[in-house]
Amino acid sequence: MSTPVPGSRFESLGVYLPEKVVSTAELVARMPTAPLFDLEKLTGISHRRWRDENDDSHTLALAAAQRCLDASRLKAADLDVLIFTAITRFRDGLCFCAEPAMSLTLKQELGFRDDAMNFDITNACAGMMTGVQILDALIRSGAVRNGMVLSGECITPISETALLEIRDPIDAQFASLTVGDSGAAVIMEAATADDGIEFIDLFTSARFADLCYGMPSDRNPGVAMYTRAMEIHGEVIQRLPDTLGFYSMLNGMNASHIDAVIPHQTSKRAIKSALELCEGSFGKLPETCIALDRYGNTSSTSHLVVLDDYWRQGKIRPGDRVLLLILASGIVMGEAIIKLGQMGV
Amino acid sequence: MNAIVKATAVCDLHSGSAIDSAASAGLKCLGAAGLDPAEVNVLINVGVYRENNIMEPSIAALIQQKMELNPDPARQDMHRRTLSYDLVSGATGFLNAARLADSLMQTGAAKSVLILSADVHPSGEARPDFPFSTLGAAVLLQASENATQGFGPFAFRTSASGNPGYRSYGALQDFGSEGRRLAIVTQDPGWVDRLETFAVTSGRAFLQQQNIAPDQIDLLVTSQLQAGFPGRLAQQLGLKDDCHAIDRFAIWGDPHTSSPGACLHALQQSGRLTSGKNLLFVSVGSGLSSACALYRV
Repeated sequence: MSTPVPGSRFESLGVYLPEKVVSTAELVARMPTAPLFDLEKLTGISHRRWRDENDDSHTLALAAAQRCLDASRLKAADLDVLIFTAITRFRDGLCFCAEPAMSLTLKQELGFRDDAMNFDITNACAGMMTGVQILDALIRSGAVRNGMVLSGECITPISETALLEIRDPIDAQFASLTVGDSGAAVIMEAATADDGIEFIDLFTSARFADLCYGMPSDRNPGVAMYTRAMEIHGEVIQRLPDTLGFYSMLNGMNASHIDAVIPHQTSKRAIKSALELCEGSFGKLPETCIALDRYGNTSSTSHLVVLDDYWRQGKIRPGDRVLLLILASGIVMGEAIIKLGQMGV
Repeated sequence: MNAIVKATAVCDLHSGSAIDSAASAGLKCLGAAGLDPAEVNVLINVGVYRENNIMEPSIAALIQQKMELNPDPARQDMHRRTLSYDLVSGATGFLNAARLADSLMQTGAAKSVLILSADVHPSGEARPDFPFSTLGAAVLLQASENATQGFGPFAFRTSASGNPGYRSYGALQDFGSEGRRLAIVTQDPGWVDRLETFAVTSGRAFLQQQNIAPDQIDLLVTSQLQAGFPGRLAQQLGLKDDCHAIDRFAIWGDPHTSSPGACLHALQQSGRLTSGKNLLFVSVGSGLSSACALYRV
């Protein structure tokens, strides 16, 4: 137990993207029947990264965690908690791990202390941001001094299943073709006077919990995702303006206070229309950060993959205040406002 | 503000659905507390094994949907909203969730946290190769200003051996089109003995590091690994003779992630959770991993 502190900050960031690049055109060419629409035009995704044959959720997470530690002032043995937050829990290939926890094995391999806490959180694509909110509370309450939120998303197996199984022009597996593999890690510690997480809130609109399911396929070996995309766009997106307006009332911030917005990376068109909807309640947002054209939807890692990408390009800098918009199966909605300071990358 | 147990419940219906079992326990628990379901700020599911090996959304979201907890805040009332997620950490999941709940209450981020659990074989059937029984458990934690009650301290530990002793996974490539219905479970020979040793080591270290004299402990809630295990642990930790180590293996079998919640419920039902008692939690499982906590009733 350490001392309660006013807030937490991002100390360092590590992102791992496998080298192999697969284009949307290649994926579409592998489909038994061509889709009725232009997938690349509809989503804005031209490429995504694809796992190596030896990669799984564990190895992707391990690589990201090591990069994060390399960029950090802290060592694994200094950290008080490891929170693993991926949807995919593949270890030793396509073996979906239930026990021991993914975080337990990673904790041991990374050199965390035996008495550091570890647990796994699953919350669909909101997993990492749920982990960030949890770690923020643990740090602020003084339960821990610091910790790492980690994800390794070996998610392209759902694309492989979709390629085998899509038959219908409005098939529920089309969204499975938008994803890309990645790992991401963030080390958090007590905030300074100049930076930190200024606001974070998530909630679950469980009325829509059954709009997107991920589970093993019942037709082939492997895993599949079934998404009722029309209903998500028709119903859920309509709720964003009220949500952002409510948060604005709570935290007193609107678009004019924000330097950059990082939405969950679903599709360019969906993001544009959602943000336009929110202009009435939140104001016109500044730079919208997009990396899905090159990496696809990396699921739970999406916000950190984009933050890493823009930070490396110098488009997001120390002192910037970023708004992270959270949207995930569940349906989980939320936002985080983070003032970034010096951050190891 | 620290977390206190406001109400507990179990559900022993065998529907083959972890979602149904946990949701039923959750509704009973809120009913027992007399709490408006809309007041639940966070719902944490700590169950590991679920029907169809569902990976997305969180099982917690599906439980929330079934319980109809604040299903659509943006169209109802944004002041009343619930965040649901799964915390997957096997036998230690409940105490990890209690640790989070306590932090959320200390920082004012939550007033009511509902911790739910249930484990089913992915096929939904009772299977001889699946070591756990299905029991839905619910524990409602609420913020209290009474500093003499509630959780804390906590301690978490994993063994350095690298041999988890128990593994469970879905080998999706080998399962063919049966991936939703299958799971592989392996236990090393002598696994329970190793866990018992680890529970003793972890419990002793916890009491020593926190300066808690063993004779201060009135109640012990531990993993229901086999009949007699809780009593042996109490003895090896040097707890006093009249310390009640709850042992329900003969009735339940091993309800795995529901063990702490269901034991708390049994203690509450039997009238043993009386003010001033000191309750020691020691949970042990795959990894090896342990979680210890003190709860002051």
